[in-house]
Amino acid sequence: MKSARSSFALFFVRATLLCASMFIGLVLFSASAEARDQVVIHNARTPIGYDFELEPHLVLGTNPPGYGTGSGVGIGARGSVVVAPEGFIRNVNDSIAVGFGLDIGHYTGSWAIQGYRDQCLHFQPGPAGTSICTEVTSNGGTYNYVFIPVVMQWNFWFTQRWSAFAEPGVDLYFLGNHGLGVSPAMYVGGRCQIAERITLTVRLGYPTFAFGASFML
Amino acid sequence: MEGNHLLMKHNVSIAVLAGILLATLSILSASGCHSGDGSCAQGATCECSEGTDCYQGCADGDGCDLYCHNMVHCGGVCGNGCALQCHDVNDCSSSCGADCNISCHNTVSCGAFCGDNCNYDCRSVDRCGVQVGPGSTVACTSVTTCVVECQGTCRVSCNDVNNCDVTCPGGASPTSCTNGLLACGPC
Repeated sequence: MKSARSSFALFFVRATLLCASMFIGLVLFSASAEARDQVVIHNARTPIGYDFELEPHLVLGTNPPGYGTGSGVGIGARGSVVVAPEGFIRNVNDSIAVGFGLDIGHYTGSWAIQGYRDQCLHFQPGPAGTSICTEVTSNGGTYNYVFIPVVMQWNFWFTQRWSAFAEPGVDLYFLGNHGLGVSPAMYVGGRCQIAERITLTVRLGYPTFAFGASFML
Repeated sequence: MEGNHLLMKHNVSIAVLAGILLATLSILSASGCHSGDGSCAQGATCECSEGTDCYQGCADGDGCDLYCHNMVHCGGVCGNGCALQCHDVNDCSSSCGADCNISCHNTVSCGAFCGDNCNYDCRSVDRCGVQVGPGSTVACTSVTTCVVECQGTCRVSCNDVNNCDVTCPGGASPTSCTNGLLACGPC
């Protein structure tokens, strides 16, 4: 159990560091170009004109909501519809979008940073009103989650190339026999423009991390 | 020239995206389901304490030693020839095959499904509910309610028990033995 835990901890740390380092690497790589970028925070409009952002991504997560445990990986997509291009703050280059998405994550109980325990899969009524567990998970079990995030995306467009966002909202989730649940969701993220209407996008938060590309349509 | 440059950037982006998706699918397909039931290895003692719930199983099926204490809910699932013990919990459940030794004490409730030749000991508990196979022995001591369902021959001792309810196969009543035991089949 300890070996699996430590190997996953290493994997998770590496994956997180990979996402972070890719983002930081892009920052450093484009530092000289960035210096030439005009800071557009004074402009009240987004530098990339778009109505809809489509963002396919890879997801990572740990300690999921509900019955499942451990950590997982998966894929998903986020769509964000711009509802207030002028944003909330006058003379600041912010904008508001409503985001919704679909993420599928395969979680493994033994990939838990803080260790894992098996869980009872099936109880049967026993004598004297007792409840007896007759089946347990193996190695922490595996759990397939479907997340449906619904968030408000508050964007800040710092330069032509760089932007950041905060996303408070909720995550509806579906977990096999355990049905539906709702979890609060909070994300912060950033984008780096790599083509006219394409950015690399990193999102950190709960219940998932994501790394992908945004297509500004 | 500018158009070609933009087109190249688009192609690179799409290639990166495809790579990410491919890597994810590879990881997902490589991580299959685990076989077996539980994580404790045969012959090993697996202890669980602290926290709220702990349910342990025997990965190899038989011969595990499962120990759980000082929690809210505990449970053990094992095949044949296992030892299960729990104490100082609210609810303790045991599911075991043949030739098992189970001990449950200082809890609110103890429940068990146990196979042939089971040896079950229940002490200082509010409710004991046990279903055992032929050739089993059950001891209830300092228990409010002890309910034993025997599926074959069995012997039950109830000491300091308010309500001792033993059921034999077919709903028959047990025999009261001279040594104070209740038995299904011969004393």
